Amino acid sequence: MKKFILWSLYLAIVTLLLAGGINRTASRFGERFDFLFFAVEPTNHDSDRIPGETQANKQEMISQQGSVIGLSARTATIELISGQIVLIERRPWRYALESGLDLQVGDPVLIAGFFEGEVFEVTQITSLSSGQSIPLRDASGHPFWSGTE
Amino acid sequence: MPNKYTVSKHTRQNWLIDAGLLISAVIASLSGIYFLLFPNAGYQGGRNPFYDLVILFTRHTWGDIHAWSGLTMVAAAAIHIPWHWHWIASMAKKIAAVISGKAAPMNRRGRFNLYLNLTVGASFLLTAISGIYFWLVPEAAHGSSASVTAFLFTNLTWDLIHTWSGILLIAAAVLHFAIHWKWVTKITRSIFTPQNLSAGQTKRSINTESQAR
Repeated sequence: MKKFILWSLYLAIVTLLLAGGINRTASRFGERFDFLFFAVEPTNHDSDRIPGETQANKQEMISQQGSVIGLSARTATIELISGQIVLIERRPWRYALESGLDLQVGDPVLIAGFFEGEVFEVTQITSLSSGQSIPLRDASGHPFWSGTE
Repeated sequence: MPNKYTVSKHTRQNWLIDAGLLISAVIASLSGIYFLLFPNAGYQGGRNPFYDLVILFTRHTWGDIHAWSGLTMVAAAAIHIPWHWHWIASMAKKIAAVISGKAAPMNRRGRFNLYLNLTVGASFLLTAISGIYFWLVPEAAHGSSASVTAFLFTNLTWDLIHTWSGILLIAAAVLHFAIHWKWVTKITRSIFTPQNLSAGQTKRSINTESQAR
């Protein structure tokens, strides 16, 4: 009986480890393909998506005004006039900073982009105070930072 | 008045090294499991339901815990392995003798222990090397740099190596610990509650019995 319990406990631990490993691996491959734009989203069950066909040209490009409410080396937090919070973070934000974008908290900005499901993907960010404008993606939605460090 | 006895200095030192290895391994494993269950940091446009989740510690603290406990584990293993070098060397000689036909094959239990220790050793090596890579290249741990190659492989590949070798290490190390459970409990009991030497029992016989495991 004791052996049975111990082996069951061991198998439960191993199952947890395997589930965690699969979870992390799936997540990593999802991020890996993000910049190629036919993203493998674990929670996105969009069966209409065709590999290689970008979503951007199927989506309507919109521009919204907002203001910068948070800034760090890794993330810019922007509140749109609609009240929605948009984050530009990690590689896209690093790319924007490397391209010379200079923003301060409180700066008014114009964000151009499109909705991918419920997520707003930013294609261009313009500082309304300085006039500086940095494109993040091309017309088809392909990110400019892809393939670069 | 009965003679009180604990364990020899050699056994005590061995126990201390193993205790350090066990404690750091448990901490590294638990913190590693955190990153298995919650692999993604960042808001991700609202797609990450676990963004800013705090379970005892922040994500950043969990990362520090994992890194430092992993490093401690490497340091402890760097002593644990040479400490048991005699076993490793004699096993290597035994395998060579079995392959060349000069010795009878090991029994099933011996073979299982050998394969298990080989698995623990190999998986530990891979986990340690990949872990040291992330220690030296901290930005490699972030998913946004997955396709970057800082050394030999892409960061994604290093991540996968560390993840799966770590999982294999935990699975094998649990069995390794279970095999040596009797030694662990016996020596721990001897260290913390000194035994009375019974009639006819000597210190030498206790040490021999302990080291036989």
